Amino acid sequence: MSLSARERILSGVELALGFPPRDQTILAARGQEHVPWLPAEEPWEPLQKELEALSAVFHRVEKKEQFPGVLVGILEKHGARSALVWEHPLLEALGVGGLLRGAAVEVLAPTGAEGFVGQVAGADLGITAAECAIVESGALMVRASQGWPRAASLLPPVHVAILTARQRLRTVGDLVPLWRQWLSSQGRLPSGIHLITGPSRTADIELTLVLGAHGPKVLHVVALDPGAIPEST
Amino acid sequence: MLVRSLEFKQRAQEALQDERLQRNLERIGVRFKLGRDLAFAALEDPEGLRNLGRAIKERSLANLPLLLETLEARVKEAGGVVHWARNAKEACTIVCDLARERGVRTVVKGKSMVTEEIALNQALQAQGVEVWETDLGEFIIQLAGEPPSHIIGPAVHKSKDQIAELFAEKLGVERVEAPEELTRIAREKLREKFLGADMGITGANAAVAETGSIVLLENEGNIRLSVTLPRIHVALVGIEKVIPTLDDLAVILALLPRSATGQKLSSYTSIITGPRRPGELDGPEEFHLILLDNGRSRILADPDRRQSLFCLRCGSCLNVCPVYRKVGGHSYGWVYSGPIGAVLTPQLVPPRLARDLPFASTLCGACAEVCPVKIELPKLLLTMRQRLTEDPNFDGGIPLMMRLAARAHGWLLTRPALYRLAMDGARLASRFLARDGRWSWLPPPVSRWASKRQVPSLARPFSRVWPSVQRKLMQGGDGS
Amino acid sequence: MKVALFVPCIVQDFHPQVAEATAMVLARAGMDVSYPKGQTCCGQLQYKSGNWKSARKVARHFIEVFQDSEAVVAPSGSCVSMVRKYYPELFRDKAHWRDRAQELGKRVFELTEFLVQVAQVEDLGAKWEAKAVYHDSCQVYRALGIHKEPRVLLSRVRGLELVEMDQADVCCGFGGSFSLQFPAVSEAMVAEKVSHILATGAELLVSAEISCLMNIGGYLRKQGHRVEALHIAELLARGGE
Repeated sequence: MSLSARERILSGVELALGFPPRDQTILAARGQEHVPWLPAEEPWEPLQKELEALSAVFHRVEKKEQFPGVLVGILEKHGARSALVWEHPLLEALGVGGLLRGAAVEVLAPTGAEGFVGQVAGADLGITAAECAIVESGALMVRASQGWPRAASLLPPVHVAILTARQRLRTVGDLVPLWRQWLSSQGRLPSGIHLITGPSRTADIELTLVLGAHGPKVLHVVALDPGAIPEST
Repeated sequence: MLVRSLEFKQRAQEALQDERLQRNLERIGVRFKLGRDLAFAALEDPEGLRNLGRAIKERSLANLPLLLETLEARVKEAGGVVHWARNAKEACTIVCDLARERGVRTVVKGKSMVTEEIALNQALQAQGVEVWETDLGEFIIQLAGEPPSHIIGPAVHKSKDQIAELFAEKLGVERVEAPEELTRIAREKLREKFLGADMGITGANAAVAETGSIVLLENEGNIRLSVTLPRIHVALVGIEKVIPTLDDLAVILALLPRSATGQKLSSYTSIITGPRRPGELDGPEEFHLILLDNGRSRILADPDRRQSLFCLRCGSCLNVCPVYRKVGGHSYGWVYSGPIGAVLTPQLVPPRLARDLPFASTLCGACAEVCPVKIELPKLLLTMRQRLTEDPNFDGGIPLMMRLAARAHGWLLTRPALYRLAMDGARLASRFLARDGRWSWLPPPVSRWASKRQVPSLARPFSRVWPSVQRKLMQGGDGS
Repeated sequence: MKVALFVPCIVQDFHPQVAEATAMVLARAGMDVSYPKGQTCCGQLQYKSGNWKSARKVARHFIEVFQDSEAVVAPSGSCVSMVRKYYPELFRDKAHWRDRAQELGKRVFELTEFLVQVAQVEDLGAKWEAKAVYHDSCQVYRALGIHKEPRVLLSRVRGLELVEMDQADVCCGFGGSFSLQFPAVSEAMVAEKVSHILATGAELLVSAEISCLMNIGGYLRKQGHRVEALHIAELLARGGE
């Protein structure tokens, strides 16, 4: 449907004054959707530093062949016996399902939304991909979608997030164009967007820091160098 | 929540004598203030960011109707339901009716000041609904039957052995004192509740009109659990929380965690847009947004008081307030404490019930220095004092004697000769009442002041000393 | 330069020596000092207690007393911030008085800010052998932004060892009527301030605000501590040539 000049002008004025434009396609037209992804060759150190300061565990994977060892190492470290895994192209391309089964870890495969939570509540580990990471703060962004349950990064005591070198942004402000892309292509944002900055924590008892209040106690970030990213993704 | 702000002095007295509270208040003051200062110092342009924050709030409030309507439209497009509540009663009715209609038996709650404002828990409990506060600090005070004492750390007034005692008694667990152990107990107990809850209730740190989203910041994960596991999510949001766009959200996300706890970002920042979409395995089936007025549109109407609504509820003004750091949150007697509490309470509850709060400040200005959205808190405190004293609409019930005394003093000050006469009279009287600079009698409340501090005696006024000073200056000497 | 002395009401009747010291210091800095008669008070008590109608009357009187003065100097941050910041607020809806208030605000100075920024004199030839600590009173520091001027002046006092205390810029708990209306809290605040002062081992407490000195100094004396509380004017007036 082509919008009248009236609608377009009003959208432009709204955008200019900092108000939500009635026509979201103007965002693309005005270049509000250029996402400043960091180059894949950027060193990992700054992000790694932030993550470790948050008590997250950082694993760098330089070559494809190293990935299985890293994942199995995490599984063994936690004595995991069951895992809730996203149905995600990156995880599939990395062969996560097969690696888990090979390590005798049950991959919880719920049959649908009905009773889903009850079936996965006992998972030892949750494995997800990340939409991106914010270098300035060490945050990882995940979003809710079909096959990408929120529970995977929330219920189990351990969360493993897999990130590639092509998915890094500098600041939270850099997320805005990405969100705007989603807005103008889907018409709305995902039902849930979560910025995860380290494991769960609290200082409510005498200001003493304790990890793992309600969410995961441990966060593993598996960072794939360009050379470790499967071609198909 | 019941208003007990008239008990400020008594409660403050008790707080001053509570050594444990004093130690905890000192630690919050130091830890949170330092954290906040370090976080802001690391920014390239902290002042610029605060200015942006304020500008966003000004722009949002100036265009509130448009933003609220846009928010409503977008939430509906995303499959959510929007309700409008003029006051506490309407808001509670909406939630209670919904709970009844949907057969809700258990509710899990994220920390929300607005739900305390409207006493939502009690309303739900009255109809037999089990309500569980899930933020660890809120969980603790819920078990203890106490109100929160700090915006960010509601249970900071409690020691670990008090909490150990509480858990042992109320949860029937073995008594342990280590914070890790206590946290684990709460995690396990509440995990059961999350898994069995029918409804999750939260507030929101912000609502983005552009996308119809609400934004929730937390460190524990209890809010995420509350908005992921139960089949219904209800979010109660004050109308002043709406901001226009995602760009504005990025600024708020830069300001709020740094101001509250000195973190660059909270552990979890959730941006929720409607209920789960078809095909999703988890997330609520229903999303209800309740927009609450409860006195806010009246504050908005007064341009001098409007900036009271800018508040992000970060708690940084509490952390630096020298008065809060001595008396703690319970002294303020209601939901909001510290400088912002002193300003908001008499505007949200009948002024007579909170008339002392704006006066319980030395106007030192430390709060204004740290407010992320540059609310001019000392100015608001002074404005509230004037409203309570002189504005009939704000009948604060300030004692007539106090007003007359200030006016009589003011009257004298515009008549120099009479003022001088009055002071000469006082000086004469003091000859009989003071010896060697020590007074034998003083009127209360000056006598109380004098019990801890030496009061100076009245001296020969400078205006009479001036001629001799003038002579000294003219002699080219300067007294040295 | 002609400078009119603005003597805060507390100084007028309780600590006139501070006004005398202020006059001396200004003269030593080369100023031609006068004392306009008829001055009484800036009206902050009325303003801060919410009695703005009465405060306006006192403010109008003040504005008239000082209307012909080239520069007005007071040894008090709270009085100066009242005139500079709050008079225009008080007269917001009365254009004529608001303009006069704003214009006057440009000519009214706190003593240390005047000396360093206007008179551009830092060394007044003062001399005082002691270990001293300076309290940043809220109205001087936050309301007027004056932080380094007093320290610059103190650094030139011969024989003075200036040390910094912990939390030097935290309120002493006076707050005018606050200390009378909420005495227990005020006492807790001044007790904490005093503990920081004592921890420095200083013999002298200096401030640019008379009310803080009355509060902290009064407490020090009553509790029997040997720390002397002095206004910075008194310190600067001593011992020079």
